[in-house]
Amino acid sequence: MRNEWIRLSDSRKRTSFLLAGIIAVLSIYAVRLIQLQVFQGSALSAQATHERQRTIELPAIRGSIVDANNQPLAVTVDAVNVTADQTLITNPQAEAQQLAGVLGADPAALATRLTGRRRFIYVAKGLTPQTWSQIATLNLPGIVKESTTKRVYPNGDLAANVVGFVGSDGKGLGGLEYGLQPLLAGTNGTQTFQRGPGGGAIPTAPNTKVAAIPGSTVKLTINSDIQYAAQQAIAAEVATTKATSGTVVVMDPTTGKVLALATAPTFDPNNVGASSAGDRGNRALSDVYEPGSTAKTMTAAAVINQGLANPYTPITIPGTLKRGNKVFHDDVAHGTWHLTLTGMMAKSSNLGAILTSERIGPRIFDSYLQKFGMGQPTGLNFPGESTGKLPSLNSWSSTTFPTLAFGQGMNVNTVQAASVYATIANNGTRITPTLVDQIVAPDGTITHPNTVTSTQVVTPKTAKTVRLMLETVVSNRGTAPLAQIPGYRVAGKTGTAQYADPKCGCYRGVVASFIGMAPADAPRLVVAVTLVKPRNGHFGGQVAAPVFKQVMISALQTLHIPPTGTTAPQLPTTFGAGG
Amino acid sequence: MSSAARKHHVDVQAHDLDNAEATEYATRGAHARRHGRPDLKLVSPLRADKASRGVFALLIAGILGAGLVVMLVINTSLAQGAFTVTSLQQQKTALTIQAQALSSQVDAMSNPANLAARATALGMHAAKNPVFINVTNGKVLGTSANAPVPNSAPLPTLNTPADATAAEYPDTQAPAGTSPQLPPGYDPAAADAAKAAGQAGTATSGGWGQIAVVSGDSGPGAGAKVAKSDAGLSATPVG
Repeated sequence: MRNEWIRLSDSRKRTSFLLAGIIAVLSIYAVRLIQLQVFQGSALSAQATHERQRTIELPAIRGSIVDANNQPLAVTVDAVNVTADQTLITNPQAEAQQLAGVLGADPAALATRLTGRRRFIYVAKGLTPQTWSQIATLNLPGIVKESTTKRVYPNGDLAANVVGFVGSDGKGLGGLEYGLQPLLAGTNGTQTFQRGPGGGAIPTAPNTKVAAIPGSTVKLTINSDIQYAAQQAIAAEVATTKATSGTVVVMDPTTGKVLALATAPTFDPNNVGASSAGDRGNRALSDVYEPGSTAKTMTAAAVINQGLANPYTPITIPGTLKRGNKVFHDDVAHGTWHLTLTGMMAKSSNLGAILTSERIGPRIFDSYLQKFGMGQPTGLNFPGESTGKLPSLNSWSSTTFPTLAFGQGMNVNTVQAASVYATIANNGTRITPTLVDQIVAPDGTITHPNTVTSTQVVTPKTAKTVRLMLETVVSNRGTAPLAQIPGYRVAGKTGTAQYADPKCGCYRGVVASFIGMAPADAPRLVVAVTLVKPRNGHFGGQVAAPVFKQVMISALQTLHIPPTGTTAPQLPTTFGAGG
Repeated sequence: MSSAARKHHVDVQAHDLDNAEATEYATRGAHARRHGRPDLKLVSPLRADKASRGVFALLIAGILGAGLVVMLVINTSLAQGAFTVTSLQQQKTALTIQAQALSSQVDAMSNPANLAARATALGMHAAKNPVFINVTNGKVLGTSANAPVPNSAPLPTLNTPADATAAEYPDTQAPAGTSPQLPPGYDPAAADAAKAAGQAGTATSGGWGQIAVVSGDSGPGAGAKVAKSDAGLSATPVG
């Protein structure tokens, strides 16, 4: 047998045998190859790539918020979080001591964060890169840097109630930071690369990068200098009068641009936690109140525009007036007054306003209130904005019409109230207010987010007439001589309305307000001041008018608006033998 | 004989010649096979072939070598590039950090609260009433009011452009009769600004395009109430 085998070594047989062997082995290889390449190929290749491939997120830089002069109000800067790997720290006490020197923190508290078995724990968040470089020079083992970004508000509480604030995740939680979140945030990018054994990218391997698209820059209509003056003035007055809150709105009536929107108390967006939740909103838009006497301007404007009265129209005002089942009074008890329409405004007589409104009737009166924007959105689209409330005409009771005539029975926010006076200032044309001037995309494209609409509410002649009457209010014969600015013609109206306290569902305290414009014969600025529940002082002409004066002076100087040099005509406030 | 026929004849002749040649070769082959021994002939050595093979081998080696060198160069330059990228990125980060630090400094310096505080520290104050000068006719618009004068502690010495302004306008001494007495706490900065503005009013003919702002009027109003109406600036009382 063996011999038979050996005889196979005959060359031809040997060749065949070898060939068969080779074919058999190669077939096994071929099968395995097909198995690996064809059937498992894609899965295996994906697995291999996965082992090496890393995808990291490239965070988009959040857009800035700047004022009308490009002064930054909110910017995003690079920051560093300091983390620790506790297992690498052999002497927590010593390291804590060194870190505390740089961070200015309590060494004992730091030591507890550095002690333990955790591989990852935050030691400090949101440090500046400069602070980190100080820490880096200490060469502390187990102390690691994590790069991040931080939202910074370089002006602190300046325009904080407009700008808003962000949460710890960098997303907007209040104000425009919240309202414009999608625009400000931008789009995160990604980078995919293959990682070598050393951790670095393999240069020849595919490396795909989808660049992050930074957020847009939001340019406001706010002027920081006027905003600052308004905030200082209202904060001081809220403190002096012990009011619960106060707001100031400064508007350019010709463009509808809101130049300042100040509230007090306010908050510091760099340290939101320290403030109470109620102070973080924007009271000038979210808080509504009954406007009171400032609404009498609408009553007068409507009647004059209908041609049914003029500044000299005599109104005989009795001591009381019964309408429906209710007896109406004026603020002060009086006998019969003989006032002109101008006098009615100057003395701010509620009964005079009722008698005046009755010349046009409820239906026309309601249409004017609507055209002036009562109960309608301001158009600012601000988060948390309230539209106020104007009862619909068919729900009016017998006392609604007389109540509305002197500004009670409806709700407005300060911007809506200011917009009424901006309409009068802008010769009867109401321009929707704007707060965001431009959105500048990262590629430089500029868009104007607000659609500015203008409505002719009253004729230019009516507006001019009303302004003359409002100048009497600021004169020594009116309710607001404290609003006078020497050298300038000022027109305006006080308001001292009962405050409908939502806590008790009753009238408690007052809302004192003053809304005015200057120069009265060619208005460039409208300033509205509201103080809710002042306890030291009561009347609008007493507590709100001085704030108006302060803010208006500052705004006139900032915008370089000179006096017109004209003098106001003296309109008669009384007629006949009365007084 | 027609020409066509003659041509045909020639063709046939040529054909015959071909056939004859083929027959001769066939015969020679058959003869060779019959003898069982091929006609061997000495072939000249393929010198040229050998030479081209050597060149070819050299070429391949050359290409291979060049390829290796190019690979080396590419890899080196890629590695070098990676180093450059890293160092430039570090540089960029450092510069970004520096730029951010500087711009945040600028932001802090230029914020209204800080400006107001610094102005107050320099003894400046907000004007009570806005007053303008029409630089064309020198007419004053607005009503000036006495500035609130701090009644305690002397003002800090000013080494501000106030002095420079005075030097630049040597002719701006106050005209006789105006403001001969300086109140305590007299603020040279404001006065100089006012004088400079007045001077500009007489010297230039700019018209309404240039409106000078006179910040406060340092009239003799010592002890004037420190007005709370000084928007902003009254927050930090002087002295």
